[in-house]
Amino acid sequence: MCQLAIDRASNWLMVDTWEAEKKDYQPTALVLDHFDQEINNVRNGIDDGNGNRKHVRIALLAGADLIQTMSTPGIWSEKDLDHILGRYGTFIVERSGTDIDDALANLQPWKDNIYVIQQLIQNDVSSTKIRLFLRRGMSVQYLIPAPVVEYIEQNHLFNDDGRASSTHSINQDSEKGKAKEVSTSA
Amino acid sequence: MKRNCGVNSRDKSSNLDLRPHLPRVRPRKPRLRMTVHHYSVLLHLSPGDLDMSQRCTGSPSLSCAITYKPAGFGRRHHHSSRPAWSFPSPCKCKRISSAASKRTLFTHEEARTTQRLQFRQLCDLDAASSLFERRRDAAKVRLAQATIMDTYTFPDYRLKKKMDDPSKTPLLLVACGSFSPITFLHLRMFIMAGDYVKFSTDFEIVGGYLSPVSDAYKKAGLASAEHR
Repeated sequence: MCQLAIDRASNWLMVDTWEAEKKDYQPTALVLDHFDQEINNVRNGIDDGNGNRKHVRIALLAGADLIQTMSTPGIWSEKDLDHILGRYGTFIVERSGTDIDDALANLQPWKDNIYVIQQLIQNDVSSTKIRLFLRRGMSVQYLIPAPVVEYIEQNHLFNDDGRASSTHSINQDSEKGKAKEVSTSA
Repeated sequence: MKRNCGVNSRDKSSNLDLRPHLPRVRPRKPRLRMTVHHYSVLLHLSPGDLDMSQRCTGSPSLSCAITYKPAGFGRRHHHSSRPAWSFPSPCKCKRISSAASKRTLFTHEEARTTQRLQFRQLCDLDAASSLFERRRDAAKVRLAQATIMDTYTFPDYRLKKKMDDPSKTPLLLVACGSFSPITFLHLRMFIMAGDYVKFSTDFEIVGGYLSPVSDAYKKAGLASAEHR
């Protein structure tokens, strides 16, 4: 679905399946390390136009809900926070319903690496709301990209709660090549 | 002149012919079995190889012994069975135009199709007279290996190869999340960040990645990774 959404719509976005292909959960710090490794070590950075290779900065892009979980003590380990916010950096998109100053209060040591982006036109769409609409049989057209709407319709995703939808999708894509099915035992 | 193909060799989404090396006729059974001599080549990696492999559409460098059939042998019996990891031999190989390979806007499918075409051109490995050609062929071979083996390759088909402004710091944006499903806000996040970076910082964006979380995350409402 991500690939469908960006294929013809963008000229600089890509989908990386490294994390999705793994059987175990990968902490965000490790995912950023993977990008750092691929771009800066394997590809030796980027040509800066004058023939010199420059080190590329990796930054996490997320919404304000993620930064709120980061500022809540106990959810993220101190080591991970230091790794993501100290070594890399993050761009946070403000969302209505999350107080950004509150969230940043606990992240003072790294505030130079945290950039907050204001939404000039508020967009409140969230995956949770989309799944709610789909469960109720309501249309999600113009809330998500058109090829994604078609894909969901063709594959009957998100019809029920989490458990049912994943088993249903198992039956759907048994013909597909590399199906990764994990039944959510929620 | 159109001939009937036994198999539909036209990709529906683009004009590229996916099987240029096979003639457009039903293949006949080979009457004789001939032995083919394989040559093993060990590729040694060097910093120059890395540079070459960046010019191909996205494959990390591999160091492995590969076998390939020289073009002369292959031509006579490209219909016979061969191990999956050796290179098919062409009758006539259409070179992909240099214009197509320089395009920056690649869709995922176009990138993969270009990879397959480049792989098929490998059979026409000319005698590599210069170091440049040897390294180029070595990089192409690695690319082919990655294509056949269908392993994970890091996507860099839309990564900027060169910065526009040397004075800025290159930046790469990574968005992790479940994307179940992806919404316009996820995409808009990248665009808003692009605007912010352009107007309020000294960074230059060289690419953006979506990294969907693995199935092990066990969140309610998560579709399978294959769908997401």
